[in-house]
Amino acid sequence: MRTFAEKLKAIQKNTSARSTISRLGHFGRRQEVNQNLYLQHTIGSQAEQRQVGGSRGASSAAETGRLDHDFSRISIHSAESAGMQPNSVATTPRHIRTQQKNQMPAKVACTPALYLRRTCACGGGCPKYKGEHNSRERRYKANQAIGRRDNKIAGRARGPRSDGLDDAPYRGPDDSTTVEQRGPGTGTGMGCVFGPMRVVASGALEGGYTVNDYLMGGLSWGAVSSPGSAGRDGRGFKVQLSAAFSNDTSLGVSQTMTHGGSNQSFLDGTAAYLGRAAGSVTNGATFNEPVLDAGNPYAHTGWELQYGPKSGTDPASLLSFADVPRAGAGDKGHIDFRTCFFSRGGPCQQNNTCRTWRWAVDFTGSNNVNTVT
Amino acid sequence: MAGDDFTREQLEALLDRLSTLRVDGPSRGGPYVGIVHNDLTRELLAAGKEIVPLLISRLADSSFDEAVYIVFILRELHATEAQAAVRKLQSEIETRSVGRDLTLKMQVEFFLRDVGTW
Repeated sequence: MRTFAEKLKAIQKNTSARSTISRLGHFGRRQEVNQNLYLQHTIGSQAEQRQVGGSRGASSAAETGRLDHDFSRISIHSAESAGMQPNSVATTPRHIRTQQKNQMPAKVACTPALYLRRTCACGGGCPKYKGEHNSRERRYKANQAIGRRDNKIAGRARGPRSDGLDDAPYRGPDDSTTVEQRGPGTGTGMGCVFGPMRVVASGALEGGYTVNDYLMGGLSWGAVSSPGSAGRDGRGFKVQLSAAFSNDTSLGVSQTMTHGGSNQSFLDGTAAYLGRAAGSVTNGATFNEPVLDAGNPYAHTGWELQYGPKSGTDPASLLSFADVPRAGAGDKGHIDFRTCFFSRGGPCQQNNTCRTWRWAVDFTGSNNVNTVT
Repeated sequence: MAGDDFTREQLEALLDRLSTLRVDGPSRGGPYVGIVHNDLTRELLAAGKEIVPLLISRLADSSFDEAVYIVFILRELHATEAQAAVRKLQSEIETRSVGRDLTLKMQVEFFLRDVGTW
């Protein structure tokens, strides 16, 4: 059995053939089938041999259907047309390792036709990867839509940063932590976040902070008991989110909230918080935190990240934030908060780090449940 | 009109009570609370638009708590004529919120967000 690297070499050897084939591409489908046959011969699979009969005349749908795979649908043109970066053909050991990392899962899931992309022998993208991509894209677009809607309502203009710094790309509040393989960064104003994010739901807040330390301009969280400790505060809850950072103190933060299993009282409390009519918030709907700027997580809002410890022995790389949600009498249900910290001005190893944490309450009747997990 | 049922004295008496309310409500993590109706705010709403000029006149000298409720009621009444007064309040938010949270700022933002839709 040939190794993967050997197969890559075989593909590289066919580069000139591929160029020739590209020039012939406009001759039509039949010509394209013949081009497939050329490469299939190179690879030498039995399935490709069966395609020969199909290309000799019987190109009917029935004939195509008889075959296990419709190779005429496989793109064999330039790497770019195959959905790859132009430099995707492995030329260095690092590139080979990268391609192996990207392509081997496809090989396991189904037999790749040409090892040029995550493609099944059947001609389409592997269902596994197609689902993964679509899901991520749906989440991203959905959150972008939420951000656009709220921004429109708020009438906020999203212009370029006034300080001229080059923001890291904003990938939406619901993105998972993204890791990019880059070298160490030297960007101007760069600040990098390092996950995972921690949720402090009990005990002293990290860095010796109190919840009021996260408010600027003389603001206060009001009458909060033991502001230096996380945990219950009557029907409220003090929560600290923390991670690590390096370089500049210019990172971003975003937060969304999604109700689940909540009664109308709890939902209407959120509607009031959002400045919306009672009845307008439903379980499963996701909303951006109104104070934080959904379109620009780096905006200063008066509710800010803290960098390094205020006191104590926590490391200088500590990055932290605090939330104090508060419920009302008769509320029941939970809210899934998703908090993200964003790097800025990279390159950084991580564009962001996110964490979903759940606040569950039950203040109906004599119940007295108030937890963060 | 609902306001016809109230004399000016009655309206003033209701507004005086408004100055005794303390801001309270649910929060969803951020440093402010959502404002919900209580008996007094419902009474003031029942007065209708007639009370809008009185609310506007009180806004400039109101405390943090009273300003929060005034802006909340003005929004509930769809008082477009209060837009200038609310914008002026917006320019004073930082000084009027010292020692407090962002509740007044958010009520002002909600009013200005919605005023164009009335």
